[in-house]
Amino acid sequence: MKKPANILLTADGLSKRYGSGWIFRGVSFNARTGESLAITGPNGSGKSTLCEILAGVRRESAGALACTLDGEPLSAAQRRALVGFASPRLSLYGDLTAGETVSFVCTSLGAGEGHARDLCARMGLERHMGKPVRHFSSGMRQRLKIALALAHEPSVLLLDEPGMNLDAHGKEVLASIVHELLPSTLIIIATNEESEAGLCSGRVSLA
Amino acid sequence: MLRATRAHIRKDFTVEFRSRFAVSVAAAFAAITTLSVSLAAGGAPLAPLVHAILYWIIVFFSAMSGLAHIFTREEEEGTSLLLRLVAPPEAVFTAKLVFNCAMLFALAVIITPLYLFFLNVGLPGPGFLALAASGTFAIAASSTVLAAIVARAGGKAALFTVISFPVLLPVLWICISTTSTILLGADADVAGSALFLLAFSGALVAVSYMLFEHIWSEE
Amino acid sequence: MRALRPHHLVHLLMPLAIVLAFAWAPAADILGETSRIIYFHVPVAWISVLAFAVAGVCAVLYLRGAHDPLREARFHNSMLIGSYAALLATVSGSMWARLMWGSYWNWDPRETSIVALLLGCVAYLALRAALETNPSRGRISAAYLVVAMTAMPFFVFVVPRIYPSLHPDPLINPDLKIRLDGEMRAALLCSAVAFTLLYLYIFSIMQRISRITITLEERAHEE
Repeated sequence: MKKPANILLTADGLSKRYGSGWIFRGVSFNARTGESLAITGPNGSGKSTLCEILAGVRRESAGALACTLDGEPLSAAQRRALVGFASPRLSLYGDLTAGETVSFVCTSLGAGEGHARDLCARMGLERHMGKPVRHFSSGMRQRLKIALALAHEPSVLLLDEPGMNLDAHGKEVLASIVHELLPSTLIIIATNEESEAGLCSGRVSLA
Repeated sequence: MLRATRAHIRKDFTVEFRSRFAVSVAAAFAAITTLSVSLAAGGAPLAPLVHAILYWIIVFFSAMSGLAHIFTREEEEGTSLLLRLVAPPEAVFTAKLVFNCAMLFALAVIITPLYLFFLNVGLPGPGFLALAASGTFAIAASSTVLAAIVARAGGKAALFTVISFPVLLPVLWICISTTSTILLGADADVAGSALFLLAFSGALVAVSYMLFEHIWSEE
Repeated sequence: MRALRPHHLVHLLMPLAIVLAFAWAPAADILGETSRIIYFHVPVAWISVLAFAVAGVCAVLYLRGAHDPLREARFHNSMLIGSYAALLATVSGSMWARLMWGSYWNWDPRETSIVALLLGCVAYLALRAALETNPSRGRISAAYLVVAMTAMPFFVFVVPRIYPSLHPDPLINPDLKIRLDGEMRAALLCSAVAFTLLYLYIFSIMQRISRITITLEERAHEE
C-alpha cells in the first residue's frame, strides 16, 4: 500500500453549459483523502459530465474547481494524472486484447503493469486476458474498466455508475476494493443505486 | 513521455492493422485511381507537365482518402475519452503523425510503380524518388493536424479535402513543377525543392504541436 | 447618441475619395479612363489583406487567452469582411484585366494568390458550418486559421516562381509604364485610408451585432 497523499478537492459554484441551456449550476462541495462522496441525481442531471470535469477531461463553464496535494495547488493536467476514472462513456479498443489494453494504458500512464494485472485477476478476468475486448460481455468490460481506473494507484478514484452491468460477485469485489482504498484515497461515485451511494459517507445531489 | 509515445505508436499500428478495413480501402483507392487514369489515357502520349499533375493529384487524393481515419476512428469508437484521460496530447499527436507518414509512404509505394508502368513513363532517376519521398512526407506531415480538426468536426472526408487543399497548395505546386522538369530531362533543382518541402513540413508540424491541445481537448 | 470614434471619419473621407478618384485625379497616360479603377481595386485588395492579418492575430490571441464568444466573433467577423473584400478585389481586378490584358483571367501570380486565398476562405467557412453545434467551434476554427497563416509565407515564396507576372507594380517598380504622378498618388492614398476606415467601421458594427446576439443568447439561458 502506498503512502496516502493528502488531497483536498474543492468545487465552488461549478456550472456547465451545453448548447442552449445549463446542464447543472452552482454545484459546491469539498472532499479530502479518506472521504467518499456520492453524486446522485436523475437521468440527464449531469452526473457523468460533472465526473468528466472532475477528471480533468472537460472544462467547467463557470465556477471554480481547485485541487491541492498536501496544500500545494495542482493544475488541471496534474490533477488528471492523479485521477482514476471509469465511466460508461469510456470505450475501449475492440481490436486490442485485454492484456494489450492493460499494457497500453499502464505504459501511457507511466505505471507498472503488475498492479493492474492483479486487479484483473481479482475481477475474475485472468482467463480472458488474451481475448480481444470486442468479444467481452458488457459486464467483463466494466470489470476491465474498473481495473484500468486503478492501474496507477490513483489518489482520487472517480467511478461513474460503477455497478452498471456487474453481477452480484462483481459488485461484491467492487465494494471490497472501495473499502480497502478508502483510508488512502478520495473516492467519488456517481450513481442512482442506493447500494453504491451507501458506500459513501458524503453526498451531492444534482437537481 | 518517450515510452508513452512508443506505446501509442504500437497501439495505432496494431489497431489499424487488425481490422485492416480502412488501410485496405485506402490502398484499393490509390490503386484504382492510378489504374483508372491509365485506362482513360489509354496509352496516349502525355506531356511531362500532364504526367506530373496527374501523379501528384493521385497522391493528394489518396492522402485525403486515407489519412483522416486515424483520428476519426478514435472519435467514432469513443476511444478518444480514454486517450484524453491516460495520455499527454503530444504523445497522441506524435503517434498519429508517425502512422500517417508511414501510411502515405506505403500508398506512394503502390501508386508510383503502377503509374510509371501503366503510363509508360519509364524508370525514374534517384532525383524523382527523392522528390516523391519528400513530397509524400510533406503532405502526410502537414495534413495530420488537419485530420485532427476534421475528426472533431464530424469526420467528413470531403471536409478534409476542402480544408487541406488551400494549405497544401504550395507543396503541390513545387512537386508538380519539379516533377515536370525532371520528366522533361532538364536539370531540376531537386535539392532546393526537397529543402522547401522539408521547411514547409517543419513549420507546419511545429505549429501543429502548439495547436494540438486546443483542437484535442473537450469543452 | 454614441460617442464619435475615429472610424466615423469614413463618412467624410469616402465621399472625398470618390470625388478625387473621378473628378480630380487625371486619367493615366496610356491606360486612359479605365485606370480610375485603381482607386477601388487596390484599396479593397489592401483591406482584404488587412482583414486576414487581423483575423490571424485575433485567432492567436483567442487561443492564448480566455475563450470568450466576443473574442471568437472578432476573428470570425474579420474573416468575413476579408472574404468579401477578396471577392470584390477579384471581380474588379478581373474586369480591369479584360480591358488591359484582353482576357478576364490570366493566372498571373496575384490572380493565383487571390484564388488560393478565396479557397482558404471557402475552407474556413465550410469548417465553421461543420462545427455549427460544436461547443469547441471557436478553438478549432481559430486553430485552422493559424495553420493556414503558417502556410502563407510559403505561398509568397512559391507563386512568383511558378507563374510569370503581368501585374504592374506601380509603387515599387519604376520601369513599368504606369507612373503615378503626384495627384494620382494622393487620390490613391486618400482612397486607401478611406477603405481602411470603412473596414474598421464595418468591423465595429459587426462586433456590436455579435455582442447583442451573444447577450440575447445568454438571456435565453438564464430563463
